[in-house]
Amino acid sequence: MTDRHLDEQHEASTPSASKAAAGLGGKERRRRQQLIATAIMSLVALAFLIPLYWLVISAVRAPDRIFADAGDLFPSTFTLQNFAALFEETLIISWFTNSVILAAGSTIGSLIVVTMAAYPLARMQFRGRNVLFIGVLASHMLPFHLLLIPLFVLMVDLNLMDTHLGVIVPLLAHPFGLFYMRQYMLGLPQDLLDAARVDGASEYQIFLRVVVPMVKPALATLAVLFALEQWNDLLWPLIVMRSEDNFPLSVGISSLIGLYRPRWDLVLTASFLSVLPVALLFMKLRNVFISGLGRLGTGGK
Amino acid sequence: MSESTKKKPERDESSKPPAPPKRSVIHRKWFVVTIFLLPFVLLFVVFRVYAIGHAVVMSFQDIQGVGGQSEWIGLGNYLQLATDSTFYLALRNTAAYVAGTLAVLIPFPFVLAALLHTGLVRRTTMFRTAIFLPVLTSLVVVGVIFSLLLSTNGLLNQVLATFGFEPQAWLQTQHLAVPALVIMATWRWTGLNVIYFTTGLSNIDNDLYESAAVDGAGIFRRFWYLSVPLSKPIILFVTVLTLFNGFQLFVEPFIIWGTGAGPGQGGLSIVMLLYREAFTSFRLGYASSIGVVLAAIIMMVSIVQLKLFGFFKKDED
Repeated sequence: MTDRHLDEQHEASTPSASKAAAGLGGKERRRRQQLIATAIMSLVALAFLIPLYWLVISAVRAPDRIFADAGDLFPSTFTLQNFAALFEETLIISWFTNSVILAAGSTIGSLIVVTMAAYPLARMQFRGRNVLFIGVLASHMLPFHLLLIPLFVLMVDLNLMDTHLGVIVPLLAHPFGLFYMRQYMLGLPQDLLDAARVDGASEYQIFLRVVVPMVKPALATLAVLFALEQWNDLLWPLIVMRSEDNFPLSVGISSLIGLYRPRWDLVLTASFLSVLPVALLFMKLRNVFISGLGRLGTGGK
Repeated sequence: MSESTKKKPERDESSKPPAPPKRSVIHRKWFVVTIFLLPFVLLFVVFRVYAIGHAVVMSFQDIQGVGGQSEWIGLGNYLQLATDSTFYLALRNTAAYVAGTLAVLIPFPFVLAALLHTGLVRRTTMFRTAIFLPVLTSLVVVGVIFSLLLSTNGLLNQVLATFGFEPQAWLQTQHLAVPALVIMATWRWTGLNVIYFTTGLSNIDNDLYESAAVDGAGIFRRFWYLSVPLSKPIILFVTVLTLFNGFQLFVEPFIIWGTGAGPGQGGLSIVMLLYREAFTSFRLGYASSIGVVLAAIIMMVSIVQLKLFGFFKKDED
């Protein structure tokens, strides 16, 4: 939507501008600029698409040609035997299921925790509010890797090693998620909340019936962000998950590479399968991804 | 700060006088606030505040494996770190990687975003999507793809060959490890930064461009005298983010080279060293001190950067 909007703005503004600027032959010059700009963008876009295209064609190459033809953009062989081998020789179905469980679990859990906490932080007065909020933000400035070892020790102590909960629970209190949701809630119109209050609604009812429906766009953005983060994460599940049938895709793939002789046929097909659902989701929810992530960059407003 | 974070909400509930029996307790404000905050604060205190504290404590200890004996050794880990040549190698590699990603991932995406913003390019949505797609791939998959694209007879060398360059053993040469990682970062992150910069540029008042154009400023002048200075806040944001991410480099070298970190450990990053010390050597105390130093470096560099950009001065105006 934003793109269209921008384009229109420019359509409207630039013709008069270039007329003033160039006088004679302004139209000609603008056409040439358009041609050059589009050519540059096409080249760049192509360069960014090639590695993905290359992943797809390598996944359907005969296993013994993968390395040999690594510099070849047009597959001379086509086979689905790599996929068959993946399903036969690895626990790919478990890995995929685990990735889904982890992504869904941590997304839903984080959304609940973050949305609940954001409500009083944005819309209620209480002592310690700012201290709490600033403390959460400050902790976000620290690298996650500082927490890696204490969290690992904690998981061992809590008997959560090699469990889904062990991967999900420590990361549920997402500082950035809280920040984003609070910013969004600050923008809600006070009138609506007041009206509900006049009608005798309790804070719980206001939260569930008024606030939650109104923050749906923020929920969608955060859902995409949390799910993507968890789906793509390697390091933390690598540490928590010990048995092969508990691996998510990321850890599964890295375990295939860690073999003495990596099985590139399996690695590439598994990689392809891990990108596929995200790509499909992206096609459905393009705007949530692009405008949502863009808004993250400007502090969620 | 973390200490008070932990205590404040609890103090709230205890310091209030007992309820007048007008409304049932579950509708009193302190109770409502507590209920809403409880899950977050509980998880936050256990898995962040306590964990950060524990990380710092462990960095002063010598720990024998998991659940083993721990002994207080004061600055011992840090002193050892100060003389550890492997640590300096990791530091050097990581700093080079950060410098490389900053040199590429700020100007390049900014120029692309500005180009898309000029209105000269048709089908901007299509181009933006193409550049954005790599953002959806995991770093594991980035590692996998580039393991082969950068192999000796891989695509990059083929392309270089058509321009008359010698093929390079990208992943088998110590001093090419960091450049190879920067190439990967360029592919993976450019799209996201383009999105950030685009959002920033679209917030600039279009009238400014129009009047500049009327005054005879061509696209390059408008870019240099309008787009760049007016995007300063978002440039700062992306710079800090790039830096923050850069120092946390781990997955790509781990996928490509494993914990050995490649030829001459050219791909050894700080986090890789931390991982190795913690989870293959089980020197948890020593690894913790690496984590603390990493956190300190990131904080320091971020503050210096914010200062250079005049971020702290703004409030005084």
